Amino acid sequence: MQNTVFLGLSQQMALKRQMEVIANNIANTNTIGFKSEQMLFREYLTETQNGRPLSMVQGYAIDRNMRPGEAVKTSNPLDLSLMGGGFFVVETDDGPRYTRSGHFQLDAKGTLINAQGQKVKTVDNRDIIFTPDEGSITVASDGTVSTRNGVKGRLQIVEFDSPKQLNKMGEGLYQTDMPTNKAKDTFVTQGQLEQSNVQPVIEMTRMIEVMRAYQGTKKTLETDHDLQRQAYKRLAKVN
Amino acid sequence: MTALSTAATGMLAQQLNVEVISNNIANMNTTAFKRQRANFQDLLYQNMEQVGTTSSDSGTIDAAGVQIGTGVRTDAVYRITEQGNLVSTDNTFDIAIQGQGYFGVTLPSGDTAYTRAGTFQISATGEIVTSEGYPITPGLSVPADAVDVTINATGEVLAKIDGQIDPQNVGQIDLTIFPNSAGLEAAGGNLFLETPSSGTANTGVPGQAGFGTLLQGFLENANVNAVSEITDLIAAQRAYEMNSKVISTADEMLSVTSNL
Repeated sequence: MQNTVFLGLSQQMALKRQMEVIANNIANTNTIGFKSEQMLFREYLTETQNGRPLSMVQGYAIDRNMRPGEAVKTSNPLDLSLMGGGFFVVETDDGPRYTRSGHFQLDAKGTLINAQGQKVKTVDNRDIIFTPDEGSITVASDGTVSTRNGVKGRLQIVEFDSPKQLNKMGEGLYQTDMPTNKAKDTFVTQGQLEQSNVQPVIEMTRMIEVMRAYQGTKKTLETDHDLQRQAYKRLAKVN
Repeated sequence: MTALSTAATGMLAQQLNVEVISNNIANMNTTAFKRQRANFQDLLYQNMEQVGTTSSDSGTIDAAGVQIGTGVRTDAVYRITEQGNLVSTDNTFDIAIQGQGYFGVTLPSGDTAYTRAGTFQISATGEIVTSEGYPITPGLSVPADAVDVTINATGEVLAKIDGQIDPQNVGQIDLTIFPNSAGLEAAGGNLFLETPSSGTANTGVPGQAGFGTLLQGFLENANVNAVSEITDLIAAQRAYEMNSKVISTADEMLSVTSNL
């Protein structure tokens, strides 16, 4: 009889986790380059006293939807969006980090940095430094950055065999020990930012599903509770 | 329930987004106003199950772990320094900048501020001043007997004096550029101040490499696009509503639990 309680508990734990993932997706509907996520569940069998297996539910992984978000025009020359599955490379104290968020700016010395102040790397692992008299900055679709003083460098853009295995670090950054591939199918567009790919309708529907399932579990637990109570009553009468 | 605090960060972010958008709309007709944009980033992730952990003796690897996010934060509110439209005003001392650069303005404190709003006037002593009465840097006076003043693209101020044939050069209006003009600090009143993030001011003659040129009788409009601001406002409001829906759902789930 106790099994029903554990079953219900395993489902409620899983639903609570899914709710947290949905909340994070909705909170990030306006985050540049954000990729929506979904909890994956699987059946988890446990042995019971009577020998028959009991199937619990377990959230085992988070699946990241790598679909590109729509590009929205900002007209800022240092806002870059990526078309295709590649990533920009930025340098941090802990090694290279990969990002889809192309909101770049210049620091006081004229170095191209991302929103957190990390330097954006070129294909030959250098920084891009602009002098004050460069005039307007142009970024070509292959990532070549040029001004009236000539070519300043080409942005490093990398692709991965399995981008879903990248580790999320927050602030739009990803980390991995996987080997990187040179970008083949990724192109840069200037003056645009890639929006979050969260689809509000889907998230809201999922949230309602979670809510109903959670309430359903409660019903199951209550029914189980009633059954137990009745059983005790009847058994007591017989004796 | 983390979902509650996650949704709270979402609501705070959208609230700030609405504040930025409303400031843009309020300044739609402010001379040389540069629109701003709020930039958001996802917060840290809690690792419930590490990506890439081994899932069997034979060395198979978990393709995806469980990393649960904790919401969103505002990363920056930055200015988009796109050139605004130039409109003709036919006013002698209305000067627009085409391209990069700022006019220098001497504040009453003696410090220098920078502006792109070229609505200049002549003070009682003949000095060229901003509409607040602050003189431009370097200071420049127009002779009292000048009948006409021409300011050319490279900033030379030429005064036509009654009775003289050739216009007289009375001074030079300079422009200042910064390595990172988005890093300037807005001081209100269309003025900006130099900061460590903007880099060192570099003053030069308009038309020089990297500097914009001047256009007399024109003013630069705000670069706010009403249509895109309104659509952003709608999106922000809907996102706010959705986050509040997350809070009420999480709350309902908690009440289901407490009523078990």
